[in-house]
Amino acid sequence: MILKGKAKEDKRKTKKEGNASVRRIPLSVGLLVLAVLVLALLLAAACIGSAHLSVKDALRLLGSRLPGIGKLVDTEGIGEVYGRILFQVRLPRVILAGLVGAGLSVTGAAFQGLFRNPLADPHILGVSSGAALGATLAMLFGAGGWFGGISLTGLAAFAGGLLTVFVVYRIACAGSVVKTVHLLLTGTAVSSFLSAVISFLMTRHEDELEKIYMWTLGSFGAASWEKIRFMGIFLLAGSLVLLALGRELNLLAAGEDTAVTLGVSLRAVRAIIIVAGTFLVAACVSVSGVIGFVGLIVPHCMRLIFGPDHRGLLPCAALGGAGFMIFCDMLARTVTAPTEIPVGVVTAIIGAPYFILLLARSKRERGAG
Amino acid sequence: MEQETCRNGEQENPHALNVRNLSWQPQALDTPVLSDVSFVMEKGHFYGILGANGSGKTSLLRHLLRLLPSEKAVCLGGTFLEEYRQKELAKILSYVPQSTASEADFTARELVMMGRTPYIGRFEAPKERDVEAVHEAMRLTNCLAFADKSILCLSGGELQRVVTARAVAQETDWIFLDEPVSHLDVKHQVELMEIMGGLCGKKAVTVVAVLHDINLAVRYCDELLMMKEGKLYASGKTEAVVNAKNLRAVYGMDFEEAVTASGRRYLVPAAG
Repeated sequence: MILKGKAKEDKRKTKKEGNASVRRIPLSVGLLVLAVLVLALLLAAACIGSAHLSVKDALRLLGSRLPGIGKLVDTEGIGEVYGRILFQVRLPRVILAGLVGAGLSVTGAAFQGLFRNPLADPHILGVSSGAALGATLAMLFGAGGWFGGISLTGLAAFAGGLLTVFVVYRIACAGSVVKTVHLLLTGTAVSSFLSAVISFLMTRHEDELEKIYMWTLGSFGAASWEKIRFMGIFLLAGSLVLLALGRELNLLAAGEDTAVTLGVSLRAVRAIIIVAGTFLVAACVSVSGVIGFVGLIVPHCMRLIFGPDHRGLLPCAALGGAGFMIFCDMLARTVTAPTEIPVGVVTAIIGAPYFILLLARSKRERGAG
Repeated sequence: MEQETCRNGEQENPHALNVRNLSWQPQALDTPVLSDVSFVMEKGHFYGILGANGSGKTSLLRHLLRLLPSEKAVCLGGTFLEEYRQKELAKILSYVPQSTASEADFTARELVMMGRTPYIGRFEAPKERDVEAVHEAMRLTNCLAFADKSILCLSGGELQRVVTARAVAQETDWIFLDEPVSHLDVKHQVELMEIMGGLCGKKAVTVVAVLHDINLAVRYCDELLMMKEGKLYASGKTEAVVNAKNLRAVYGMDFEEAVTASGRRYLVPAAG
């Protein structure tokens, strides 16, 4: 009995000691692995589809377009149609999916840090409902046409998203003492209001119902190099701004008061993060519709794997989001080919179980705490 | 008297914290949380703020830290609090808040390193000096045993010490603590107060702590501020301020005073 008791005690002790210090994957290793993964997924997604392309042919075609060594690569024997499929259909779609995935995830990670709320996602301030209303109005009023490679529907979405967050910010930040949680609640309320307006408009215009509904579910079906350029500019600028504020996001995790007494100018930091995130997400939504889940779950997964330091978390989230979105979009267009599943459906079906698994594992590792 | 400038006629100690007619009433309330509070704090002393719940202790502390707008009522080292840049202020004032819970999975050492933020450039890595300061602060507060543990695994008392270590690592002239010992057992209460007393004595740091335990206040604080219903009821040297009359007024109950075997005053609430 005594022995048994002692053994039990020892076991508990070793378990506790095993938990003693935090072990994390080094950031450089993590970033490298993620980057390689994203490139591999990009290549795979570019090859897989109704017209199958071998990896070797895809690489040869890609190589032939590279400046400098392009002329040395032999593309004899690859049908010209494959070149067109690769460069005009697949690559734009895959790259756009990657950029949008990165944008949503990096914003989600920043917003979760800013609001110190695990349920915060890129859409929390109402950017997507505003964008959806903008797009809906554009579709209902038949605003066709393009501007700089972006459809007018997309531009209306972009403007709607920005306008909504501006209104939310003005409402929540009236008064001398602004609590961040007011922003969250105001955003949620305004979102619900706008969604109701969209639903109302949809029931009044049943002929456009499917079009609007499909737009809100999100798709990369209409990708183009122009959209990539548009999205790329916002992704680059937005994520650099957010990354530069990684340290402030870390301090905010320790509490807003603490962050302020450690030198964070809360008002300014909050405004910059919201502006950068909003432009970034509005760009995402305007090129692809409303894709949920990625911006909520990918940052959590990355946090569980790489730890809470935003200076590493944000780039990891960007790469993880890119890879995840490329993968989901690949499934969306291949599983039920020739019809497509909305990519937002795939992100949730794949992502949710994986996230639950990860959460359960980290809880077990941490013991009861 | 106009309050246009911080220096008000007579020559003041340039390191002092000067509060003049501080009042504060949030829009939603009918009664002021703070009304007409004025006092001066000198550098290198240990100040305690006592008072019943809701007497304005924490609000006062938050004004002194510029976490609430004080409209030129607080003057620090000859400059209004409003006129400091946030990062500048972070090198002068540090804060140990009442609620220290955090959901983030940082290690204790990482949390203490946050105290060095004001000294590290945005894109710089911590220098050797910063690592040393963190180590020293954690040694002083007895945190080294769990330095590399996740803060999510720490007990309330351990976390409180880590947060205190962060304020120590910040190397400020002033440390403000909001009920720093309320989560600690007796041993760690005394240890923390000793550490703060040591910082006062050896490094001329000014410590300002909101306290609930009158006896800890009597033992460690040089001077006390007693708050009652948003007003400064009494202030001055500890031994002069702590008396039956003041305590009855501030807490609304009677206290019995005893002297311990080692000759220290000990105050016990009188039953009934």
